[in-house]
Amino acid sequence: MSASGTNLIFTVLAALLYASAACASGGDHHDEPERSFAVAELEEYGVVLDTAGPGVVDTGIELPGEVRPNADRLAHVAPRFPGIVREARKNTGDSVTAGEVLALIESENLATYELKAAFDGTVIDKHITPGEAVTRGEPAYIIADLSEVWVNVSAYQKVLPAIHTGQPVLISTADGALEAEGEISYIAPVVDQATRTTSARVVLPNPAGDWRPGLFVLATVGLPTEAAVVVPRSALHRLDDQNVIFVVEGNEFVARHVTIGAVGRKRAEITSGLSANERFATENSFLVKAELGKGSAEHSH
Amino acid sequence: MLERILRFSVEQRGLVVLAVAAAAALGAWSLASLPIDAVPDVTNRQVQVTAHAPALSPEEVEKLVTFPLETALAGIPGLDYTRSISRVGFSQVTAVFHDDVDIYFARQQVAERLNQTSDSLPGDVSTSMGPIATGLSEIYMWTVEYAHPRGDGAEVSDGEPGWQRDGTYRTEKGETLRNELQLAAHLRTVQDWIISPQLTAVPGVAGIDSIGGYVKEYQVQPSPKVLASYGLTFQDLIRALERNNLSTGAGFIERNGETYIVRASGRLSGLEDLEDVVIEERQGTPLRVADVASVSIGGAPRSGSASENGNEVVIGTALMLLGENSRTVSAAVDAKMRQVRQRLPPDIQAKTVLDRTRLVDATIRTVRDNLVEGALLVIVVLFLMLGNLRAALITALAIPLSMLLAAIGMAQTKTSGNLMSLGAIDFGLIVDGAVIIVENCLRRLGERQAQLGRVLTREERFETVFLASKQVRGATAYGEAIIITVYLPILSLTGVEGKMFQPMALTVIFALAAAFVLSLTFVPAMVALIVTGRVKETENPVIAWAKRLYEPMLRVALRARYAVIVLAVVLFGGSLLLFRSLGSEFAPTLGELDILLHAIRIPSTGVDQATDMQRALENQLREVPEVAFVFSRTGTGDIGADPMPIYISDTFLILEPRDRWPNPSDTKEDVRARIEEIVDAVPGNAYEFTQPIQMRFNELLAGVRADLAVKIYGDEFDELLPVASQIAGILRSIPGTADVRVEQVTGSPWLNIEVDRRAIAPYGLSVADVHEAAAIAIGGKTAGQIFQGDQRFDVVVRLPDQARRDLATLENLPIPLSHEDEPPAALALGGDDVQRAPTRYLPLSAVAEIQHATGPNQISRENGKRRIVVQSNVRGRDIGSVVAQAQELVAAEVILPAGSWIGWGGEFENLIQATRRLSFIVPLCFLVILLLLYSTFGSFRPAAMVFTGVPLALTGGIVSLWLRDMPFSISAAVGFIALSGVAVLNGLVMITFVNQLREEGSTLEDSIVRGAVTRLRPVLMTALVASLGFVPMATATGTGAEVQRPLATVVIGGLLTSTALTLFVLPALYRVFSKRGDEPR
Repeated sequence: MSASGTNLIFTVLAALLYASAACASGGDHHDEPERSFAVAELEEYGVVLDTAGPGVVDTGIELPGEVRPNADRLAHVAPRFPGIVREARKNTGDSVTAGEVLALIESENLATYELKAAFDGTVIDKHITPGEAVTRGEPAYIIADLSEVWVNVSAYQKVLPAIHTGQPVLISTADGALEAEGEISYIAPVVDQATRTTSARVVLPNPAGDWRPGLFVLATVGLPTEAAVVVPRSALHRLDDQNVIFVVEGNEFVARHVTIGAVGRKRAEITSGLSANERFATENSFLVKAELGKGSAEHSH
Repeated sequence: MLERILRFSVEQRGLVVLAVAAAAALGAWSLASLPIDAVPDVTNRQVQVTAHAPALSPEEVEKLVTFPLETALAGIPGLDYTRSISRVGFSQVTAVFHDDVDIYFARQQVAERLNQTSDSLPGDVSTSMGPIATGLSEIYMWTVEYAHPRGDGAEVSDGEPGWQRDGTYRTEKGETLRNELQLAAHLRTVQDWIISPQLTAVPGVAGIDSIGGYVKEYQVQPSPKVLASYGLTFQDLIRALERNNLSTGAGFIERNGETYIVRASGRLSGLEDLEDVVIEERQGTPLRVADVASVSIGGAPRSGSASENGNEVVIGTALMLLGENSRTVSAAVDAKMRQVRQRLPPDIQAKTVLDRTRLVDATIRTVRDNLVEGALLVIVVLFLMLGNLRAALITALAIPLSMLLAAIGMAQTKTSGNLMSLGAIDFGLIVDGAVIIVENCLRRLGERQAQLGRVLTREERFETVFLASKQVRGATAYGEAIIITVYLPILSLTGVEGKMFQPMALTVIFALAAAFVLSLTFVPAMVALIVTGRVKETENPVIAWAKRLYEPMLRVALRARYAVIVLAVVLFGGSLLLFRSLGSEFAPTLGELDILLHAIRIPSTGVDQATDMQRALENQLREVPEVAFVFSRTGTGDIGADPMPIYISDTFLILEPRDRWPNPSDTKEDVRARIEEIVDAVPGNAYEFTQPIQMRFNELLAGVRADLAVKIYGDEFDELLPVASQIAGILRSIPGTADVRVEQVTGSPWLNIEVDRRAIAPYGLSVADVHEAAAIAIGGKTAGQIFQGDQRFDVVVRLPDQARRDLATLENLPIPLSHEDEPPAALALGGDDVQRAPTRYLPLSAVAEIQHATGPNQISRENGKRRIVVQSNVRGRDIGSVVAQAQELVAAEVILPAGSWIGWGGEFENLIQATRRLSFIVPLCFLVILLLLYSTFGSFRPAAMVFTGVPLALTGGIVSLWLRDMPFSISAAVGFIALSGVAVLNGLVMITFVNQLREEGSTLEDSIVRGAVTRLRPVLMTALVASLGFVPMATATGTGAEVQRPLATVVIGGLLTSTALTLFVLPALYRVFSKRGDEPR
C-alpha cells in the first residue's frame, strides 16, 4: 500500500519538474497560420507603390573640378619697353573692348605709348600703379574673355577608362546653386605626378559671368542613361544575399530576385526579374520586407 | 515532553498568552520588514560587465574588447561560467557565480580584474559593472514627455521658456528646439540631468536605466565637398574645435595683499560659439566652422528608443538594489518623484507608468483577504459545529498568529514574501491541529459538565482541557510532523526550481511549525482561559443529523468492506489514468493587471524604423477602450541589464480598471483576444503576448529555455554552422524531439568597406586615412564637450544624417589627399598651369570596394569561446533516453573542426540532477512518515492503513482538476501535498481514537463504529474549514488568484474523497486488517 503512495508522490514531483521544463520552453508563440497582408493594407501604413518602366538612370561619376578662364581667351598685356607708368586707366573687373587703351607708359626715351586690350574681355588682374617703373615682359594686365570658361576636372586613375571626350557632363557647385551641362572637350595626355590625376576639360559658356574662375565645382561625368526598366534605389533590398524587389502579384507582395544593371545615385536599372508595367514597393518598402520576414522573427536574447 | 508543555501551558496560561502576543508583535514587525515581491527572485549570482566601444563592429568588439575581458575574468574564485555578447560598439560579459558566493566579494574580484585589464583595451573603450540588481529589480518606471506634444493646446508665451507660437520649444537655457529629434533629445536631457541624479540618491536604488530620446550632442556636420574644396580634412576641423574649447588654470597672483586666482577661460558655450570657431586663416580671411559645416543640436546614434501612445518619450526605470524590499524602495522612489515633478521645465512631465507597489499591494491584499475570509469562515464553521463562539475565535486566531510567527522565521532566513510563498499557504491545514484540540476540549468539557451536572470549577476545567488536549495532541503532533516532512523534498531542489519553490516550502513549514507550537501552548491556554461557563453538552442539530446519517452508512460499509476497498482502489486507478490526460505547466500564470506585448521584427530592422513601426502600433492600441495607455521600450537602454536587440519592442499595455471597461464582465482574455486581432492588422511585426512580470520571469529562465541544448564551441561561425546544421538534422531524426532550432548567428546586413591597397598606393594614402574618414563621416568623432552648469554634452563631428543614409553619398565620400604646400588655387593662372586640376580628394569608391554582405549582428560566447546553440524540446519521451541517443549519434557521425568541441546542456541537466536527488529523498521522506506513523501506533499495520490516505485523497484532487479543466502545476502539487497531510492527520486521529476505545475493552466492530462516529465532528470540521475556506480562493479573480486557484480546487475536490476515505474506507480497512484478538498497545 505504501509503495503505491510513494510512487504517486514521486510521479507528482517528477511531473512537477517535467512540467517546469515543458512550460519554460513553451512560451506564448503563436502557431496560427500567418495572416497575409493585402497590398492596399500595406499602403495604409505608408508603403508607396511605383510602376516599373523605361527611364533614365542617373549614373555618372562625380569628380571635383575648378572653374578656370578659357586659356585660349586669356591675354597677358605686358609693356614693350621699360618705363614709368603714367596712367592706369583700367582696373580689375573692368570690361574692355579690343583695342581699348588700358594704360599709358612713358618709356626711357620719354615717349609715351599705350597698352591696348587684344580682344574683348575683362581685366582679371592688374599689376601696375601710376609712377611705377615697369620692365619689359612683366605682365601689367591679364585680360580674359569670360564669356566662356573652362572647368578643369580631375579624373583619378580608376575612372580614366570610363571617360572620353564628347561625354556629357553636369557641372554644379557643391551647394547646388549653379548647374550647367557641358561635355568633355579635352583630356590631358599626361597624369599629374603629384596627384596621380588627369585633367579633363569642359568648356562652359558663361554669359552671365556666374562661373567665376576659381570656383570649386563638382562634375558628374556621364549623364543619365536610358534603360528599359528603371526603379528607385529605395525599392532594392537584400534578401538572403540576393537583390530583391517586392513586386505586386495579384493582391500581395512577392519578393522577386532581380539583376541590377546600371546604378545611379537615385535610380537603378533592372536587367532581369522585373518587367515594365509591373508594380512594386518603393518608399517604406522595408515594411513589406518586415512583413514577409516576420515569420522567422524570433525572440532571442 | 508534550504532556509537560501542555500542563505548563494550561497552568501558566496568562504567561503563555503574553508570550504569544509578544511573539506576534515581533512577527508583525518582521512582516513589515520582509522583502515582499510578486514572485520569487530566481536570478543567479551574476556580475555584468558592459563595455562601450564606439563604432566598432561586432567582430572587432569581440576581438578587442570581449575577449580580453573574458580572459581577465577567468579563474575568479567561485566563478561558475562566463557568457558574453558582442554587438556594434557594445560588449557585455556576464560572470555567473555559484549561489553561495557573496555578491560584493564577486564584484570586488571583477573590479580588480577589470582594473588590471584596462590597459589591454583600446583607448576609447569604457567599461562599467552593472548595478547590484536582480531580474526583478525593475520596480518603478516613468515616462518623461511633453504635456502637449507638438505644443498643441499648450499655453504659449513667446520668448519665455516653453512652447512658442511658431511650434518650436524654447529651453530654459535659451536654446530653440525645432525638430522632433531636438525635442526628443531635450526630454533625454531632462531625464539624464534633472530626474536621474535625484532618484539615484534614493536609498535602495541600485541605478537608473534610461531609454529613449537622444543623448544630446552638439553636432558639427561638415559638407564633405565644401570641406574638400578648401583642402581641409575632418581632422583639421576636429583639431580646430578642440583647440578653441579650453579652460586653463593659470595659478594665482598676489596683489595688494589679496590673492587673485587666475583662470584663462575659453570654453565654448553653445551653437553660436561653435559656429564662430576659426579653422584657418586664408590670406587674411578667417575660415569659420560655419563656413564649412552646419552646427546644430542633435542626438547621438542610439540603440534603443521609447514611446508612449504613439509619441516618442523617454522612459526611466529605477532598479532596486539586490535584497531590498521592493515595496519600500518603490514607495521611496515615488515620494522623491513627487518632489522632482515640482521643478521640471515648462510643459515637461514625468508620469509614473509602472509602480511595483501597486502589484505588491494587490498581492498583499489577496493574501490578507484570504486570511480574513479564512478566519471568518473558520469562525462561522466552528461556531455552527461547536456552538461556541469563544472556541471558534480561539481556533480562528491560530491563522493570523501562525502567519505572524512564520514571518519571524521568514525574516530570519531572508525568505522573501511573494505569491508563491504567501499565496500557497493552506489556512485550513494550518488550523487543523487547533480544530482538533478545541473540538476535543469542548467535547470533553461538555461531557464532564453533563457528568457532573454543573458548571466546572477552575481546576476541573483546567484538568479537562489538559486531558482533552493530551488525548489528541500526540496524534496531531505526529500528523503535523508528517505534513512538514512532505514538504521537505522541495527544499532539496536546486537551481531555478529551488529558488522558486524553496521560499514556499519554507514558509509553509514555518507556518505549520508555528501552528504546531500554538496548538500545544496557546490554544489549550486560551481554551482554559476563556471557555468558561456552560458548555453545551447536546450536539447541535447539524452534527446530530450527520451522525444519524453516518452511523448506518458506516455499518453498511463495514459489512461490505471488501467492496468498499475495491471501489477505492478502482477510483484511485481511474484517477491515475485521468492524471495522465491532464496538461501540465510550471506554475499557473499569474494574472497581472497589465498586458505586455512583444513586437518582434526582422533582425535587420533599424532603430528609427522600429520606432516608427512601434508608434504606428501604439496608435492602434491606444484606441482600444480597455487600454488606459500604452508605452514601449524598443532595443536596449543605458545600463543594458537585458540587452534586448533593436528589433524587439516591449509594449506595456496598462489597462483601465475593470469598472471603466465598456463591458466590465469581459475577461482579460477577451480583451487580449481583441487586441490580438487589432495588432495582427498592423504589418511588419510578429507578436508575443505576455505580462510584465511574466516576461521578466521568462527572460530569467531564458538561459535554460529548451530541454536540450547542444552547444558547439569553436572559433569560426563558418565552420561551426555546418556542424550545427548536421546536429540539428540528427536531433530531428530522433523520435521525441520537437522544436529543433539552430541559433541565428548571422543575417544582419553589413556594408563592408574593403580598402584597395593598390588603389591607394599612388596617392600616398594609408588604410588608416581611408578608415578614419569613413569612421568620422559615419560614426562621428567627439571633439570636446560643452558645459552648461553640471550638464555636459559632446561636440561631435559627423556627416549630416541625410547624407549618412544615402548610399550614393557614402560612395562619394571624399577621402582627402595629403596636400603638400599646394599653392592656393586663387589666381595662379599662368599658361603652364592650365593643365592642373584641383585634386584634393578622392571619392571613397575610388579607393575601396563597398560590398553588401550578411554578417553576425551579435556574437555570443560562453566560457571564452564562440558558440552556436542547437536546441530542442522533448515531448512524449523521457528526456534521458533522448539525450543518450543523441549523444551516441553525434559522437558517431559528427566530425568537428579542429579546436572545437560540443557541450551538452539545457534543462535536462537540472532535470536529471533533480530527479536523481528526488528519487532518493522522496522515498526517504515516505520512510520517515511511515516511521512517524509507526512510532505513533507502535505497529506497522495501522501505520500502513493511515498511509493509504495519501493516494486516496489525491483521487478527488485529480478529478476536480479535470472537471475544471486545469493543468497540473506546482500550485496543484502543493494542494496534493496539503491534502495528503489532511488525510493522514484525520486518519491518524481516528485510528488513534479507535485504538484507545479498543484498549478500553470495546469490541472491534463497536470500537470502530463508536470511534468513527465520535470523530465525525472533527473530521467534518477540518474538511469544511479547509474546503469552505478555499471556496473564495477557488473562485477569486484578484491579483495572484491564478496561483491559488488550482491549489484551492485540488484541496476542495480532494477533501471530498479524503473525508469519504476517513469516514468509510479507513474503518473498512481497519476492520479487514485488524483481527478480533489483535491487541493494540
